[in-house]
Amino acid sequence: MIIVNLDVMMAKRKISLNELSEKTGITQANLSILKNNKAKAIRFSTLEIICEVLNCQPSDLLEYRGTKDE
Amino acid sequence: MKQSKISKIISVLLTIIFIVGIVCLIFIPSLYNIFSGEGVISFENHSTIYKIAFYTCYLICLAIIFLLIKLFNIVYSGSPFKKKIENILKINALLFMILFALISLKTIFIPTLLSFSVALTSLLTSLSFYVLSQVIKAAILYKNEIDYTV
Repeated sequence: MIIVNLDVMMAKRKISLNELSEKTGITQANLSILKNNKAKAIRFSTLEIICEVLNCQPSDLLEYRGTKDE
Repeated sequence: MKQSKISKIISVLLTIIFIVGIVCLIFIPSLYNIFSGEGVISFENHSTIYKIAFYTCYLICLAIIFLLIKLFNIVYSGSPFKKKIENILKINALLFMILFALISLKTIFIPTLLSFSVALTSLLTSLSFYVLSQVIKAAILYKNEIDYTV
């Protein structure tokens, strides 16, 4: 499965959910969906704006974990 | 989501039918004799199995109406893409299938054109409800996918 490491990146950049929401224009509810790995899909535009604000690569946010690890 | 007025009207109509149906449950033998017409055996002279089957069909119809009231109330309250609606449609499909089985048995022993047409209608309705439940199931999955797309 694909894991979104948004919380890890947020901790690294020392940015709160509220601040990220303000800077990206993504609602806190949607960021929570991403953070809690409940998202079924992510748009390129969303990924792009998060990467821009957090100054990171998409690979820093997304990680693939095999089903055996679950 | 905008509340559907039509679903509320249908729900009220079904509630009236349901209440009338429950009241009529007591007068089934006399109502049967009134509406069956001439040349048909009176309700009292039918076999016990026939009477049990008749009452079962009647109760199944009441259950179907009750479920439809619930369904239209859910539709009125908001989004129709809910697991509850899928379950109600599946139960209704099953009830119509039981109705079809009972009426088919009756048609085998007492064949009439009306019984045959009612049995056929029940079968088609059952299949329609099942197809609709599958459509709602797919729609719920699709809606979840969209809701969780960020």
